[in-house]
Amino acid sequence: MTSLTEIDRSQSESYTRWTRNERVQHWLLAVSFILLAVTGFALKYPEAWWAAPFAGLDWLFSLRGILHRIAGAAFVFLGIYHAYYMAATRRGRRLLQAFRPGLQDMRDLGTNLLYNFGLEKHPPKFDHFSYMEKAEYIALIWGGVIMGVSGVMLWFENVTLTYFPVWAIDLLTVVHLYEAWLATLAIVVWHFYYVIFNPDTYPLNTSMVDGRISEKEFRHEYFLEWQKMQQEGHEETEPTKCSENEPV
Amino acid sequence: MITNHLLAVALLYLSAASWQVTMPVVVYAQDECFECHADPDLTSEDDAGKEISLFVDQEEYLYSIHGDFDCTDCHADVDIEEHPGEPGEGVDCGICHEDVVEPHLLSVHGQSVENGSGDAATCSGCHGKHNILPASDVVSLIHPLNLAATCAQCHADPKIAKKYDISISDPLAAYRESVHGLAVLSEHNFAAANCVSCHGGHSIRSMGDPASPIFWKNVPETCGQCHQDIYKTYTESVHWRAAKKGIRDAPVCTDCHGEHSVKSPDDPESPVHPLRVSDKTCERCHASELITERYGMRESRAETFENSFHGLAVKAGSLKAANCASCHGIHNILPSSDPQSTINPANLEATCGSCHPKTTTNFAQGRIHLTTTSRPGIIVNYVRIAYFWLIVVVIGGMIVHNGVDFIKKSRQQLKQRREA
Repeated sequence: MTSLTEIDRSQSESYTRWTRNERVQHWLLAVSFILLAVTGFALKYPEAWWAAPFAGLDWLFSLRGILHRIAGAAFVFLGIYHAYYMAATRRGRRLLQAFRPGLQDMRDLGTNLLYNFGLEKHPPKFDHFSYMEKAEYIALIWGGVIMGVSGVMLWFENVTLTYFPVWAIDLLTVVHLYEAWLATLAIVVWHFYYVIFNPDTYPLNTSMVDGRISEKEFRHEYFLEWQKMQQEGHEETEPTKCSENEPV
Repeated sequence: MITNHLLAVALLYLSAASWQVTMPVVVYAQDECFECHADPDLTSEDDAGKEISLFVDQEEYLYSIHGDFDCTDCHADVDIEEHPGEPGEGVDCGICHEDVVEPHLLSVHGQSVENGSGDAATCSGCHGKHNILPASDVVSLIHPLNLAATCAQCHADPKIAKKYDISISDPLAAYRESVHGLAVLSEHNFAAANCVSCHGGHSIRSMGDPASPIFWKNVPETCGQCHQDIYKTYTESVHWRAAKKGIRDAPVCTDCHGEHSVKSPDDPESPVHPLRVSDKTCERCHASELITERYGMRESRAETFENSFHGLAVKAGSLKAANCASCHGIHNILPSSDPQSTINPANLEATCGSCHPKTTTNFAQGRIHLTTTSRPGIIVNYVRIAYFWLIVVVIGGMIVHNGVDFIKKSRQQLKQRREA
């Protein structure tokens, strides 16, 4: 069993955590998400200062709608590509496996809380993904599906209304708004904490920039995987190449 | 302009001369009076001892409509033998203009004069004295171009407004910027409304007087003089049905459009501009607790609209998104139970269809103003509440989880730094 984290031969002190493809996916997601959030909340809160570029004039409001739909389409297509990536590539399937939540994650959560409250001596040890990352990924998929489906249904409201009563639009609007709030707050409170404001990480977890994780950080954050790699490392002569773009 | 003027003067001279020939009795010809009164420095003292000018601009007088009259035609009481002696009683226009005497006497101005006001408009107050001209003459004080300024001599004066408790102290300022004022003053469209068009002229009355054209119940008819089609539509609407019965809360034209300031609906400052009509105009009554309670109307119309996509889009500046009038109509507003109503179930497909081209029956038959108290609205509201608490619990949990993590890690780092 080879590891999802790869030894980077050029830099003995660091490992590859995210492939280029995954990093591109992440940043496309980040750009479309932010654009969606700003242009979306500008509709709900047109009088807010940050909504000024998208409110007050008819054409600005139209621009807001166009940008929201472009970003929404990008988000949906990225989601479809991501589903393909996770299902059809070897690395994707292995990542999916690594994201799979289990009882151990609940135990890790308990241990971590006890540890942070000073009731446990050692923090939990994680494999390739911590329970925090797994929770976020699952929330992202869940939220992405809800936002995508409700968004597309609201986009093509005339088609939606062919099959559903008018109040479905009201329901979808509520769902789209509240899920947007949930997603945005989760990104700010959860994601930004772990990749920015976490004292061990601050000012930025750069693994999504260059794809690398240092030996020290690897050992500290993902001890179980690091440990496995140490044992396997002796048996391996060549690092496994990523094959993310080749369907298997 | 000047040459025209001179030509007119010349013509008047000619006509005056011919008249003198035909009129057998000429008591005092103009020229004899003007021997003295053409002097700009000719003055006298009034009863209060204040110096007053007795100068009459002959050229101006000759150009006036009365230019071929003799002075004594109007100043009939001047004692020629004693002149200059005691001043005359004044000019009585009613000698000739007898039809105007009674309307003016019954008007707010005439009544005010009767009550001893020295400020209220008499004939000369609006028409001038020696410079009287027909309303069709562009230099006439009552020509549409000048009329507003003539009225404004008093009706833009804050002292007059205060003294006589006139609520709108400067209607001219609003009128100048109004669609009517701009049409008259800038575009020289003299068919557009001026002061007299709505208020009446000699018979002008207070807005509280049921005989006044601006008495609230008479407003639609007054506006309808020009806006005939709208008047016809409006008088079939629910608003007029109520107003007709005497319900003052029901809007007449000016309640939505304003009066002196009335603007085109395309003007962003108009209270009926697509971006303002809902919250500045309709909601003034339809979100008023007092009015909705009094007539048993649903008070949630405004709120439910504001929270809808249409309402939010309008707030954000969309001219395309539906406002109240887009669905309910403008002058033709009727309750949904009326077969003529734009929101009658039979007409909804057409009404919604004006923006949503593929409107189906399904589309047209749903409730629009979803409240939290009736059926589908309740379900939507439960989802809203559930989501709200989901956010509170999930995000709250995240804050606690990360908060303790932050404290723990910060402490560890401080400890490590101290040790190092």
